[in-house]
Amino acid sequence: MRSASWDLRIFGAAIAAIVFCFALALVYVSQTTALSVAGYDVQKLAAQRDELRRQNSLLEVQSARLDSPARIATDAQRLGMVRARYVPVIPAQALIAKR
Amino acid sequence: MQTVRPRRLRLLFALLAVASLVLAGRLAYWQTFGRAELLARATDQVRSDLVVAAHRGVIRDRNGAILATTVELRSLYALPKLIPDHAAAAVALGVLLGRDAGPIRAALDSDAEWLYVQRWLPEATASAIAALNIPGLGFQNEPKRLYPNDAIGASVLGFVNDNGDGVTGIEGYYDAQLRGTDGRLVVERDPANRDLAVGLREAVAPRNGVDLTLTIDLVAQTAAERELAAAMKKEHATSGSVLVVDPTDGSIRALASAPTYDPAAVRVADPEAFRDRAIAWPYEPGSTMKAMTIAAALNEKVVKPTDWYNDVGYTVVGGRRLNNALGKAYGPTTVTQILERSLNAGAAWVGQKLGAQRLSDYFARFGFGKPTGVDLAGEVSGTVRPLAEWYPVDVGTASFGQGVSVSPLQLAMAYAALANGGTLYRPYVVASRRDADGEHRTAPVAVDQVVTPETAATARDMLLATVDDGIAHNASIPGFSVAGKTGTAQIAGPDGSYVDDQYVSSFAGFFPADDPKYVVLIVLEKPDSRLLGTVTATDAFKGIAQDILRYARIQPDRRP
Repeated sequence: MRSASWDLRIFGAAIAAIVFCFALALVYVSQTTALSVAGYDVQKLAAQRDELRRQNSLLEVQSARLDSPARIATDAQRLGMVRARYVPVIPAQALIAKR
Repeated sequence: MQTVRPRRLRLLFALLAVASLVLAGRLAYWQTFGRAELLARATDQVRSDLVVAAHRGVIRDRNGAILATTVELRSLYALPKLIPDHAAAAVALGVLLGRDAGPIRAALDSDAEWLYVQRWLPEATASAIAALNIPGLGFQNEPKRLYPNDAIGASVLGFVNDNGDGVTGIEGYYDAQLRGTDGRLVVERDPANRDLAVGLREAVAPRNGVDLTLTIDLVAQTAAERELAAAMKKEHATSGSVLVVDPTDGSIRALASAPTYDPAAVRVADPEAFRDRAIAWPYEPGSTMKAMTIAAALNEKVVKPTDWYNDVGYTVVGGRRLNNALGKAYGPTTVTQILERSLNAGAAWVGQKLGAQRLSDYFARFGFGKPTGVDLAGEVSGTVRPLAEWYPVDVGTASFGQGVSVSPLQLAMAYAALANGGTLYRPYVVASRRDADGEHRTAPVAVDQVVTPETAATARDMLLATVDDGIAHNASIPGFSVAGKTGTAQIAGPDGSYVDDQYVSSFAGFFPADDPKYVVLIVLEKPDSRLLGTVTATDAFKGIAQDILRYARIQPDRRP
């Protein structure tokens, strides 16, 4: 009887060890898979980030083009405006004195 | 029953044993000595070794406006074998790219496996082509240097060629700092060419180029280029340049050179346009140099503003007769009136009183004859011959700016010294650099105290009188005090003799005269108006000055 019980115990322990190892392997594989999937997600997000940065740079350039004094002057001319030959400037002190 | 002879069995066993040993040995070899080679071959199949390009630094003006930046633009490539209908694809692309379909079709029909159809497409064009969904066409992002203000500032900025190398100007001078250092990324990739998160990964991050903030003011720069272009057009001048300098620290607020070019279209530009004439054009300055001669004489107490001589229209120096412009005689003339009337004979008289040695010394101290040290590529030193090579007449001619050559920048800095109380600064264009370690500001460098503050103040008053009451009256601006001097110089030909009836016209001035904030120099080469080219130069000065005064909100210091 004692010998049979031992055998059962050894068998049980062996089964448990196998199951544990299998579980460990399963966890490792699932972790690795999850990591790979996360890696792909990171790549997608990085690509999105790079594209958004690129778009942002293009918008900055467009904004700089629109702000360019030379472009504004050209557009103003196209609208029929002409440069003032002389713009009188009134000293601030004179205005303050009048008040 | 057939029996197997033991001898044959032994032989078979021996063969199997030998084969096993050979296999075991081979296996042992690959596991030990050949392991590295096998590993390398396996890794090569999945390994990707990429250069991660550093981002070229952005160049901004003093107020943060972008002057040059690098953007990833989409380049269109084709895999001709995958395109089902070359003719239809060529027609569709031709319409969107604004090109003839013929050359596109020819490229697609070639035997090329892969080819660029067009690089660096505008974003809208790239999106329109992508919407066509033509198989075999694809896009690749490529960095492209863009200049949002087109040709404005081209002379000071320079440009970047197709190889990514900075050429001339800031792009050339600061190329090493702007380009940064490329990085490296080594990863394992799956069959779909995606990075594997698990596995080999070595990365050296790129070190992006530094961002530069210039001393250039886009508004002043635009005004300078507009006025220079107008003056060039009016006078059909061969070339010209404009400089706007802050006399308090030597920073350059605007630098324009003509002929100029569009940095986005350098392939079609005249090579001569790449020469920045503000720093790389030695010319004889003529009468603008009289201010330096007189400042030197005042500083040496050789003359006072009220000292006078009898002007007969010429003077004789070293046996040579030196005439006033048009040979006009003015009678008794003070030193102040020499500037007001721009008299060559008077300047030669002052130069003789000062002497060749001291005149030469002061020219050197004002920075003539050697590069200013500005942070731009291609600066020239100009020519002030060593004193030992001077002929007796040279003390007279040099006094009114003939026989010596200067760059426009040298002359602008000399006027800045008179404007700021006598200090010659080293000019600079980069106000600050920003890199991973933070911002590094450029400190102004005072090169020399050329004249005393008292002398500089006296010279300022004399130049103020030259605009208020003298030959440069056209430069006056209602409501503001302006000091300055016109210059008309003859041009030396290849043989050293002066060319008939061809001149360099210029005006150097600063404002407000009592507390100078800006020095402006305009130089025009071979204007149609000849001796009257200075009128156009002073007109250009006024146009630039009025824009700057309004923009900088400088209060009037006089009644209009």
